[in-house]
Amino acid sequence: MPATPYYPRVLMARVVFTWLFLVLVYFFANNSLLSQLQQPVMIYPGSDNSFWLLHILGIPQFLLQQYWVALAFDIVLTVSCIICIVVPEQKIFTWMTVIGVWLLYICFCSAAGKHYAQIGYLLAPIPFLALRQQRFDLLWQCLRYWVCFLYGSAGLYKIYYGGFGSGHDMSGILQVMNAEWLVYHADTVQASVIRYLMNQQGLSQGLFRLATIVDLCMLVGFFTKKFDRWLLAGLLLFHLGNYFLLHISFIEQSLIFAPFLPWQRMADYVSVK
Amino acid sequence: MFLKKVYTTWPALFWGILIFIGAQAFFMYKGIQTIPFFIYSMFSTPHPVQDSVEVVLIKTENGYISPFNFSNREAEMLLNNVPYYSLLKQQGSDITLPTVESRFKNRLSPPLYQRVLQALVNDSAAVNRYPQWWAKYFTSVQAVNRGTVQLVKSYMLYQPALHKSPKDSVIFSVQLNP
Repeated sequence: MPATPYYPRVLMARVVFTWLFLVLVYFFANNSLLSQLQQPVMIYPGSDNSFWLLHILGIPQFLLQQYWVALAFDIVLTVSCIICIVVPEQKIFTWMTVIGVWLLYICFCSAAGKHYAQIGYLLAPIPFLALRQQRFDLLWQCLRYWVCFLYGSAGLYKIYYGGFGSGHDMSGILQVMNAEWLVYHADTVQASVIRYLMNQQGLSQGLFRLATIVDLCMLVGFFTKKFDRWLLAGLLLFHLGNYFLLHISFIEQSLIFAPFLPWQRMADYVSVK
Repeated sequence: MFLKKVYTTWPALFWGILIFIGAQAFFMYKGIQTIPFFIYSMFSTPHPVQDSVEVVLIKTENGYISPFNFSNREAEMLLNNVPYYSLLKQQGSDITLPTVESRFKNRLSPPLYQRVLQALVNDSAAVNRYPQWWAKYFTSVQAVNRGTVQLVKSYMLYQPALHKSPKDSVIFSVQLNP
């Protein structure tokens, strides 16, 4: 028996890459793989230095502007991901999948004109680049800390930039995010709830502050793993709330939940079966 | 402690983590997201309650199409880049240009600078081709594939009750499958 708890790498690889494959299927079903974008003509590198570097090298333009190249990219990425499910103990296709999803993200953001925060599918496959158990364990823990940091910093930003202290921030956000939606879905229960929250500024701001506290609670993950199931529940509620009130889908982001799943218990359950 | 364990078992990763933390702190200080150093500051500034919100709508010969008829990913591709296009048309030059100039002009040789410029800035030809690309993507994601479609800017007014402003300003108009 190892001296410290370890993560069941093979089982985890199968689950995480199957999950990633389903995200790619979701992209395909929603016309957002590279070959489905109809060769966008405009790019938006923004001020992100990594985007700049790749655009200077001409990589997103090469992948986006030629149909057959984009199609080949989509096929290679999808096949690599499937190979990672079937053969978890290899490096080449894991590297191809990791590089592939990052390039897909950069190309999609550049074409869509916005750099998205939905990055769960980019982060979760990275630890599988390590084959040795001990190294994989360390990388998986790094991933967990990274996720804790991202959400913890989101909470701190909400305090630092004044959203938390504002008396009406959430009403303003609800207005911006629901302006069109309320016109087209005026008679639904969901619309009634949103309109009610817009008018009840104290209540809606209470929800915003609750969301900030959920963000900040992720910092607990730096000190203990004892509360991971609660952190997972908090993350899930946070994203369900975002989806219900702000219509922000979290399918791409859902892989961010993976570091908080009880992997050892799942492995025990599978081995008993 | 985790970092101590990393240092003893995989020193390269330890130094990698330290560099990553340093770079993350640097880019947070500068306020410039540089992936993989993500900055999760969305929705952190106060959003004032407004009387109206500017929106971009798709208008066909049969009326407006709800952006919620599309999936999130499709709507992002169809609508998020429209304000950027609109700005490029208004200004006549790419909004990225001043940043490129401040970072690279007179620091690179003229041919290299031209190459960087071409890679980062949309030229007028790309901007002019945008409505045709938009029409191609639009027809690929939904059933309407004939007639004229307009992208319009309008306002949703919250007072006295939520309604759409009757006034639309056309961003562009494009014929589907001409």
